[in-house]
Amino acid sequence: MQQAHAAIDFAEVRGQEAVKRALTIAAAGGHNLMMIGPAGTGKSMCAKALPGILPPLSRDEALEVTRIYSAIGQVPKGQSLMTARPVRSPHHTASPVAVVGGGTIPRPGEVSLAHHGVLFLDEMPEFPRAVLETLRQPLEDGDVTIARAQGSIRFPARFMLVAAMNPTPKGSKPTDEVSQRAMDKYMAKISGPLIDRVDIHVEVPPVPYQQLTGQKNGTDSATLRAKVIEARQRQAERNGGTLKTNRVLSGRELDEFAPLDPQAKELLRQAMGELGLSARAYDKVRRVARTIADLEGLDDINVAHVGEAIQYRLLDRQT
Amino acid sequence: MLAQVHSFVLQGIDPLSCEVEVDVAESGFPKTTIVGLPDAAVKESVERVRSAIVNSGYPFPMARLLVNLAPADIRKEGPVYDLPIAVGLLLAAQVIQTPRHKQLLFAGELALDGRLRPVNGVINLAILAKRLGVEGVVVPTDNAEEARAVDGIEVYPMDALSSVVGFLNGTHEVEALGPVSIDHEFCSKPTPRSTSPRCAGKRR
Repeated sequence: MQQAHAAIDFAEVRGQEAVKRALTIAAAGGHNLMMIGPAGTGKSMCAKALPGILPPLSRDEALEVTRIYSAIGQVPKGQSLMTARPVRSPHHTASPVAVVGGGTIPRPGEVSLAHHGVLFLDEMPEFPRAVLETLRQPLEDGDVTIARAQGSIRFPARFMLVAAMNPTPKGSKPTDEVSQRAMDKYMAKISGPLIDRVDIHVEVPPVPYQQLTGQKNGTDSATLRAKVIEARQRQAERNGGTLKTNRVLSGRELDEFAPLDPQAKELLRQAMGELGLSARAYDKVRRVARTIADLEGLDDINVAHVGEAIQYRLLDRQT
Repeated sequence: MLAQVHSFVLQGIDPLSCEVEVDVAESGFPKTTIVGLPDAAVKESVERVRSAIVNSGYPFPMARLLVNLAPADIRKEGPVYDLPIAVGLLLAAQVIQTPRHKQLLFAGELALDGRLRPVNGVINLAILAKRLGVEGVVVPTDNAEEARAVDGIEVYPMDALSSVVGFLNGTHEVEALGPVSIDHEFCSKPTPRSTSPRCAGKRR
């Protein structure tokens, strides 16, 4: 394989195998992901390691990314094509124009600079609502349309969204009634519709001391990447050779390609009732279950796959 | 005396054809006007172009000049038109004496001593050239690699305005660069025009 595609290898992240698992699923199916956990548990490290387990850019994808960076003069000198998936981490003080694009002569924003890559929003509740709202169009359509009096300009913006947040403003889990209420208030800051567009919510707990100091290194990026590439291969075969991932499967396509067996259906029905999942969440669970089955090399989705997918609707349970 | 040089304008990341028209009057008060919705950097082009032409040893016409960047209703920005404007002027002054420019797209910023500086959007320029079916692009050397990502066109890397003039007049040979060979694992290496071998020594 080519040179390292990410600043950090997953082997450097101590413990957090469950989070790595969630990120592998996200990478395999192109799903958006939210990490919830106290400060210092490795959320940023995981986001930086993520490009290392994504498949390499296809030639057409690389061309699109290069076209965007070329338009703002950021293709490294002497390089023909940008070959690494971009990772953009705008600070939460970035303006809406900086994030989504615009200006008198429209420029691509962070979402376009993350095209075919990862947009990492650390401390997501700290982002102004106005900025988070601008993410809706790219998450739905994969591009951003900037309207001007003279006409509209379209910038591509198909990215994988990775968000991180602390469960409370202070950064630690709530211990009593007062801090629980503070946490509920903090969680309410995140717009429902945006959470609805995130497929996977995963908790990132503090790592036990033994794992931090243990000799064994965690699962490394190369291993996870191989799995991701295989799962993507299965998706490509299913989607007629296109690079479409499970994340964009429509309801009808889910019915055709991701049918659930009776046990799985029953489990999902129960979960819908108990957790109050929306119709959109229902489709998300099916998409994630489809990816989990793909990672195992299985065509049929069983109850274990659905069970795991339901676990990743953490935030639906809390609100 | 009217000259037309082909260049591009970016709308988002999509390139459109931009015709740089340079009209040198027979006489008249030496004043230069640029039209076609130029931004500040484009308006300053003329100053850079004047110095670059004179410092490269060519005559600068002492007459009324009109530069039009078509289409007239799309905003133009950046120093990318320095080179096409300079080429247009030198055509009108008959310093460049061949029609070779008609099959090429031009872009580049000019330093006051005539050297070419890199500009934005060159890969999109190359894509436009391929779409139009022209022979190739004339770009600053620092941008050449970017243009090579597109196959089916010649890339002529230039260091300075004098190289461009010599090349167009046929007095100065410039080796065209062909497309780079890029295999799926992205081990890219420059290749000579005629062959595109897969990259050797790839690590697995």
